[in-house]
Amino acid sequence: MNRFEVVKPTTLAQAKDLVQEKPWSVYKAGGIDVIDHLKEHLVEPPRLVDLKGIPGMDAIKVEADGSLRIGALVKLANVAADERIKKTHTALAMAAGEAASPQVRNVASLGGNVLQRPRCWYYRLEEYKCLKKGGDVCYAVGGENRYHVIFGGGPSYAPHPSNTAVALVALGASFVFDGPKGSRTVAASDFFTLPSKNPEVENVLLPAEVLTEIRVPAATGRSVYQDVREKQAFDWPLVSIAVSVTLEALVVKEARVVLGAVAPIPWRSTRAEAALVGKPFNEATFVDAARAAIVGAAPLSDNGYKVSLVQTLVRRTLAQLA
Amino acid sequence: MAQQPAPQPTPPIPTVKMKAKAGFEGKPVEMDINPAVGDLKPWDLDTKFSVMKGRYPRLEGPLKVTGRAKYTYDIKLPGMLWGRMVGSSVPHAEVVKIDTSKAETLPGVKAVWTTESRTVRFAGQDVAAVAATTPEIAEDAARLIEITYNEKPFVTDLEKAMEPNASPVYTPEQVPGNASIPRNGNILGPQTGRGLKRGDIVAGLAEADVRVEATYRVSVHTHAPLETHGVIAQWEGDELTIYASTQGVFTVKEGVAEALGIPRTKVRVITEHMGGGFGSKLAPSASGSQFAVVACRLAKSAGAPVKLMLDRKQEHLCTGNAPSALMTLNIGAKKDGTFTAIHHKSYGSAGIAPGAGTAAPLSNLYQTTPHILGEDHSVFTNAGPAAPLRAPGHPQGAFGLESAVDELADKLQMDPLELRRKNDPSPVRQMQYDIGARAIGWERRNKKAGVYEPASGGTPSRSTKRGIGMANGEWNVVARGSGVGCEVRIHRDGSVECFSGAQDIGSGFRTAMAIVAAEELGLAPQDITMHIGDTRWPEGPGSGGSNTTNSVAPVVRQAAYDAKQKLFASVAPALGATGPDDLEASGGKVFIAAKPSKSLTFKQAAAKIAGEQVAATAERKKQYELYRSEIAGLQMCEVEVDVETGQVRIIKMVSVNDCGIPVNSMTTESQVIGALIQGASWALFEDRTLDRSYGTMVNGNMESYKILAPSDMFEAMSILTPVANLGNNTSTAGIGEPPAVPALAAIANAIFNATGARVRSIPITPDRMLAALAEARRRA
Repeated sequence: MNRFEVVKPTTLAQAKDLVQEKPWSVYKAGGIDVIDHLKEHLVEPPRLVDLKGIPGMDAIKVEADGSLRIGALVKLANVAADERIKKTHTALAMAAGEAASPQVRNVASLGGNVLQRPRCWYYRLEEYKCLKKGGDVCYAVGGENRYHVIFGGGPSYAPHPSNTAVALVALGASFVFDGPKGSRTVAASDFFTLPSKNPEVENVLLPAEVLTEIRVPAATGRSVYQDVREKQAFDWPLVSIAVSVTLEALVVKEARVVLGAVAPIPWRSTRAEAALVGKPFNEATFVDAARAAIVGAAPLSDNGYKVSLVQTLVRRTLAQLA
Repeated sequence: MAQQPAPQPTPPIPTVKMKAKAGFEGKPVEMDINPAVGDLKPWDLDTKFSVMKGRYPRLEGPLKVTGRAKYTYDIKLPGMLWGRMVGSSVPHAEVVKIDTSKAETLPGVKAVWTTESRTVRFAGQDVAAVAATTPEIAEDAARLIEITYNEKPFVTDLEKAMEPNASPVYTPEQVPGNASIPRNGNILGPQTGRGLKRGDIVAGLAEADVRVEATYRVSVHTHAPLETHGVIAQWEGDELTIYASTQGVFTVKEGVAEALGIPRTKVRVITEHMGGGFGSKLAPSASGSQFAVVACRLAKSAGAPVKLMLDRKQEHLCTGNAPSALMTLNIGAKKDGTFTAIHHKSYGSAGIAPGAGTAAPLSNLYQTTPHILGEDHSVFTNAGPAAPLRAPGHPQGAFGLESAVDELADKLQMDPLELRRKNDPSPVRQMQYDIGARAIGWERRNKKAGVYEPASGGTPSRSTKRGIGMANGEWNVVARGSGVGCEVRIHRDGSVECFSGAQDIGSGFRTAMAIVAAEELGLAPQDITMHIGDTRWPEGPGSGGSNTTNSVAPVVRQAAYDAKQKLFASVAPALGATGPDDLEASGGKVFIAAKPSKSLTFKQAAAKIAGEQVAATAERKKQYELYRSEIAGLQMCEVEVDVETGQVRIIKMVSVNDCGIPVNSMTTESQVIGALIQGASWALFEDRTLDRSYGTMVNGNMESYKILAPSDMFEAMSILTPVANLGNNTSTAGIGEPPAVPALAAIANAIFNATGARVRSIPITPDRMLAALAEARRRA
């Protein structure tokens, strides 16, 4: 293991300086994903800048208008257990509560969960120098691709691993960053980027930027999260989904349908949303939305089953909200 | 594991004739047996036990739950170095050059080893190793070793390896295995094992009114014990001590001594506590690595102890696995369900090793079937060699056979339990059918597969369906008739020590042997201080094939009995007895059998010993005549299937097992429940995945190599059906393998009952379940 130092600043300004001072230094929050990267030699930073010494980034605040301000260091377990979030932004609490295992949820942060890198087994193995690591091949093509994407793939096919991100996109959240050039806010739906733009990254995070806060607008309707996995816990979903729906007189006024584990980003199914808006909120509409959700799916050799899982989950999740 | 019992000594040893009561309660059988002269009459159906069959927590339980038990992984010696293996990164190559110069100059590196073999046949095969002052330096040094390969074509997929133009894993003259077995490309076989050919298979199938022919597949499953393989090697002069995470301390001793060319007297191997093996830790090192020998060499060359534990990825790659299987079953029956013929034709890959057969269950199940044929083929692939894994080949084979029997029952429109009962000559399993059926509520199953009946329970919805299925299991009594010893010492203060070199794989062996000694001495298990897992003590077998308890228990009993006779001789005068034969020991007392009021406590009795102790050493002379050589068992399973997502949830599993006379009911049940969990995990999740283009394992960890976790757990029930088998003086039998055999088929058959969809591939993941449901819809 290459030698590195761990520093624990107490202010964001120090943290940014410390990361910029030595090239290739990285931030560490809960450490779940960073330590996996270190152990497999996917990154070899000279310095880890531990953000957990910085005060004020680990609180959940509910504003007067019902919107949420969640510090990026809030643990998944706390998001999952927060009664207010459970009530108003149900999908987020559910997604956080389904992640990994109790041990991991007690260490992992919400910000880290959103920013984690893909779990694709080729990406995670040092010996496969894939597109995401500056190589020129996505080994999933013609390889072992049963867990890979059916939407938005190419040239890389690794699914985005964050299921809280799926919920946050469905809830219209935005991310607040603090970086060398100051602070900025980016809508969750604009933050994640497809590999066709640049396969080596999954989002528009800038060098030395810190995700400080997750803002979620007040809920106008209800939301829910579901997933299908092989194991009941400590497993990555085969498909996940978060749906947020606002109804007016039993007719859909607004809808967001976001799919996880099927695309390189949290995948907003605009077709499913279009099939919902203006329609009565009933089983026939759910079936139409489910059918719309799979239009354009392009499975690889071994992951065609994900198409039928998407269709089932869209219908079921909507039915759960009815 | 198919450990060969040690050969019976020749010439035949003198025996005595005696009678004993074999079988099970309600069906006793008086049998003639011929133990060796001096051997004890076996415990049988008439024996009244005071300690045996009870429920006892492990003696070392408090040490384990408080973290004080030192596993191999926990041991640290002064001045100890850390070793690390380097495996091949490619699946098939000639090693052109191994450059260790950078590693050798890294500060902290104390020794380097490189292989003499120039050919690698699987990714992960030993190439080099290092020892350094810290594990981090060892890892760095390992990464600095530069290996140049001349890569060769390879094949990792079973069916591709069977093709006539497949890339050969071996040249014809290099092919391992018995030269008398036919070989064709990468295929070794057919081979017909013992008891797998009877009658005329073609004629038998022609006699049938109804036939089922189907093909079943099983993926490669790895052992994945919590503690990886590893040793600590320590030289003191020319004396070598090895702390090993092993199932066979004597195997390590012999294997390492032979590899190093040193006398066995110079090698001591110790396994105090053991973090799991399941058959993978029966070799001196491992099936696909020589790491233990390498650690000894590194320690010698560095002049310091070396600890070398494999990492999780290496554990998956080179320490063994359960072979894949591709089986075609052809069963014929008369209209009334009487089997006429069963043909089990099997191909499987044990990687670069032979031994991928799966037909063996047919040698035990349905023995009244007039025509049977088992034909096994091992197919070489460029993958890590297999190792025994809890009844090697039997879970795969039983998945094929017991799925096919279930398919036949459906075709005959017969109750699958009744079809089995009709064709089963085992009196033990006949009793077990009723017990299992009652425990699962067999009458609740869907009368027509996939058609929900309210009685089947659960919450019926449009998407979830429940069903109940079963499968038979089998195994054989495997025991060492010789080459097993034990010493028991009774000290003057009344304390008792029992010495057996055999190791506790985790089954509760230590506690079980204390129970056997306590039964004979009239004490409690905690009164016996056990010394095990050390080659300084009398020889014991490797913990494999369900042979440990029933190989060692008889010598523990014999040694305890012999020591007790010496104690009786010391104490007879004080009690006014005419001799030791007048005395008995029970309930912590020694007394005159005919006059129990004439007694001393065990402690008082021991005080009469003339010297410091009385001691006796016993050796196993022969295996006795068995009531039945087959160990019978079966499993019942209830599942719930989400037919829209393909998720399978096991609700309940019941395992009914013959276990001889159980020594410790608590740990025996625990061992069965462990097998249920392992079987369920294999059935639903575990799948070693090698990249099809590069031949390396993509899920060599515990994240993507999926193992059943607590949330997937179900109600696991173990029901023991004690059988006095008379095979040894304790009538014990092993339970490691038998409950591992039926699980895959029981689960798949329950899924069929729930959904009407037949899944013929293991593991039954959602994608396969959805495909089977779609296929069932197409047929309907």
